[in-house]
Amino acid sequence: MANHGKSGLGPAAGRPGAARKRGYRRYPPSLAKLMRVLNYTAIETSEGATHKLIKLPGGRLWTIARTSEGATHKLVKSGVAETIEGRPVRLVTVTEGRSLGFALLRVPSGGRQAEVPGRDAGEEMSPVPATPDRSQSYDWSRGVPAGYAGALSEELAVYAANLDRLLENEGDYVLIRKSEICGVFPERGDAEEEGLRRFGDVPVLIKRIARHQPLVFLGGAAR
Amino acid sequence: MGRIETTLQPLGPLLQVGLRTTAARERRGLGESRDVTAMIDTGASSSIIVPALARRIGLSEGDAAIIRPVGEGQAISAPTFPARIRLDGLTGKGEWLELDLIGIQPASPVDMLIGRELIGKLTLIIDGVQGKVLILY
Repeated sequence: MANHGKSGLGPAAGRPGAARKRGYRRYPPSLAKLMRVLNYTAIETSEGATHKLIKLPGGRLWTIARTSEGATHKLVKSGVAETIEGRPVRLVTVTEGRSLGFALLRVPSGGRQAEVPGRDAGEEMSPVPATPDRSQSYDWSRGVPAGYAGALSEELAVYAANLDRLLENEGDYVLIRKSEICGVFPERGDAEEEGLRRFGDVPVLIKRIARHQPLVFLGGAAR
Repeated sequence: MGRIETTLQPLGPLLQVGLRTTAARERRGLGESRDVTAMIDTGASSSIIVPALARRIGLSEGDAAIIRPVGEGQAISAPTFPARIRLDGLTGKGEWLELDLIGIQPASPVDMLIGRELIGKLTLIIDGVQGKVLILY
């Protein structure tokens, strides 16, 4: 299985002293205000992008990512397993804002507290919930969900059958065509490009690798 | 900041949104773009689209969504369709937003429902007395 490299926090991010606090004046007023209110610190990535870490009042950690192109504040996408001061963290949830991107950082197990360099001495950070609510998620080790009527049932079955191996790249995106696992990519767009390049306009599965997938709740919206 | 004003119609807040396929597919000349009728549904955690419409305009099928049943019962699954939408329509000036639309028939006679994953990026003001809805994005 090919692994096509990952973007985001680079090796330097985990070294003591690699992170450093930065001023907020170089950012737009809305972001500067946010940074004044919240504690933050910055980590330079190996690719030159800057990830701002922000502690929200609830103890959650968020990043504000700035592209290396420097044109606008855009989300640098996700799925990056890394360390902050030796503690493992993982970018698990991503939403895109209008001009800013926010990504939730979470300690992966045991509810350990993440060390955020640059925060005030003596300040306690609440543990970040590490375990998803299993009643609100689907465990893909159970196989393809019953009643699935889409065009990718074979690909989903391959995903489920190879889940343990794929979880080595949890958070990345796998590209599967029929029974072939074609590669794992840090960005969904990269997987899509590769699928189109290799196979053209045919159904392929591009799936973010995770054992537990959050359930969707539609209420009475659907028939 | 963009601004859309609409009315609280019998079905709910309706608006015309621009819909197109992903950038990668579009670069290869796949898919088409069009305006569709969408309804804002704060009760849905995700946005949904009529599956036949998604296929007609060339959206490609993506991951499977797992849908929690209302009350008792087994979860069901449905295909998703990665797409881009613009809230002020094809001719608007708003940003194109990427999202996965779940291909499932809405209970209401609309092309798609806008769920909370998208509503979470908006400011939505509902004036029930005046029957008006203001969307800031």
